[in-house]
Amino acid sequence: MIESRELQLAWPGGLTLTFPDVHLRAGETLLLRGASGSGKSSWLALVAGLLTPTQGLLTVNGQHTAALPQARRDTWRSRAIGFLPQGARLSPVLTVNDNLRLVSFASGQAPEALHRQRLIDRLGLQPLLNQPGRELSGGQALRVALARALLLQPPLLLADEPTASLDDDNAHQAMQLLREQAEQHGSTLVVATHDQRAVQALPGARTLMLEAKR
Amino acid sequence: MNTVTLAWRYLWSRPLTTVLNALMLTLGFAAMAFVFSARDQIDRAFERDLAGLDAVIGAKGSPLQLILAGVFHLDVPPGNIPLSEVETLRVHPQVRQIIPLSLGDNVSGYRIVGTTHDYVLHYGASVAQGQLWDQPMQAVLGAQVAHTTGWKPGQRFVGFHGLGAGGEAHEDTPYTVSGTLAPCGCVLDRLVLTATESVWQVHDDLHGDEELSEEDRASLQADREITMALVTYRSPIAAVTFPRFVNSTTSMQAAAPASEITRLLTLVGAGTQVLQGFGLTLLIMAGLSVFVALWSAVREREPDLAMLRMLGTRPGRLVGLLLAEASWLALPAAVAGLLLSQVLLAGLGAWLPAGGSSLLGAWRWTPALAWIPLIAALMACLAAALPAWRAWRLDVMTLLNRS
Repeated sequence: MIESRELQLAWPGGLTLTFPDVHLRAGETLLLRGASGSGKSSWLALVAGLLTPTQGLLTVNGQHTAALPQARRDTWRSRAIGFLPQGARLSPVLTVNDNLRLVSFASGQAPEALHRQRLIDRLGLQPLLNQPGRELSGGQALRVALARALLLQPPLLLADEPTASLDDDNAHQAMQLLREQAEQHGSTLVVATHDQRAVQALPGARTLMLEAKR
Repeated sequence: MNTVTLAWRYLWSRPLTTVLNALMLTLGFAAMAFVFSARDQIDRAFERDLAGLDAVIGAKGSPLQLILAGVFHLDVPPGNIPLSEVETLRVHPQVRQIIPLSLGDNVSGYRIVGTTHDYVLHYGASVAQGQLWDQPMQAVLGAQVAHTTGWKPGQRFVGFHGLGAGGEAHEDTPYTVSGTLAPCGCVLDRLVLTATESVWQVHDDLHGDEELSEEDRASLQADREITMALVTYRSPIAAVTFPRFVNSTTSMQAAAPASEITRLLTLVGAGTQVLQGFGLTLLIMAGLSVFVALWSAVREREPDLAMLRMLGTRPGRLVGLLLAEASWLALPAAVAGLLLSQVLLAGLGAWLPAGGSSLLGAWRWTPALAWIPLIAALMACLAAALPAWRAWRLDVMTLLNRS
């Protein structure tokens, strides 16, 4: 599913991140750990094709994303990757329903109606559908973001600090949902976290420790 | 969800800003459309009413006043001219036709014009009801007069002295409506036509109870006057020599409508340019306001745009989204501006005195109005250009990592 070798990312200003090699099979779960600034979010962005490595090889689901032109890379990401960014990142002015619809706006592909309804039911979003994003609690927003990430049943689910700024109950629920949904859809799950609660929620997961090698 | 729907949702997430911007744009477009329409309608009215007329003969004075009074019936005539002098011009080799016009009275603000059937034939007007006059004190109503007054053939009415409402009524010499004209889109629509003799008769009877002797009547006949005469030439060369001939050998003046109207439009043109400039300034201000609104929307919504990029939206679609937002403001505002300009024209048409009311009116298509939606589309593109460029260059990772 994910194969990376001698991967490096240079930021403007001279900072260069070097990442360990990874070989992750489909359906596996990976915990990406490391201190703040170790490059967890950057690694996720590289995998998602939001950033381009300056050196090394990276293939995701057999796709050498760096070789794709921007437009094709965007289309590929919209269909192959479910991204759960830090802080959920919902549009505050759009309703939950419209936030979910953004997936079809971005990908040009409508989710299966039955699958969509199941997700909404399973994540308890039905009563929230007409609420604007700004009125949701952290836990509710995360559930909506999770539904958004899973709508097109992507083979790879990336979550960046999913438990950050959540209380224990919500953090537990969030991790449980992530694990369940990934298992249910057979998705490969990568969770970047430095939160012990998230680590404990994924006991059988492989761990990739990132260090700030610069 | 498509781009247009999403743009609409985003726009309505800030209703007050949206409404205010739309209002400003609407006013700008309305001002532009109003100027375009009014200018075109006035030009067309002048062109239509001038068709086929080469000169107007009248009392010496302002030639422009003579044209405005004689052709468009918008001004008071400079005075009267002797019928005998006009009659001598009838046989002038360069003259094809002379149509006499006698003014002096009005009914409900519409001018009563003593003339001949040639005046009706000149504009190709047709009778809608009844027939043209065949004796003095019969009158034919122009389409607008008939519509406003609701009079039909057989109706009797009296004229009032003067060319505007409020004069003395000629109670002793009532007219009878013999017919009404079909709308011709020309000056006849807002005139009451009668035989020249009717005007003389009404004013002869102004002498009141005093019985006129045969001798007096003969003297009156010899001194008959009309207000002016419309002239058509046999050949274009007459345009050079005929006015000079009239001006130098008679007590009258001949004015060429085309050159006077060109002079008038030059003067009016300055006014319309000021109005057009005002409309353009309004539009530029409105455009700037839309630009500022979009710019601040993009700044506020950068996290949303980054999220859309994260979900796989191509930068080109983000540009399309902003363009759609600007279009949602500009295009309906253009339509609303067009409608508002027509309401203004209708209001102005109703407010103008009866004589000038058919010059301006609503719901008359002017080709220049096609510029309004084009300007709206251009403005949407311009207002969206810089915000779109910003959205295109969005640093997704920085924004996603921003707390």
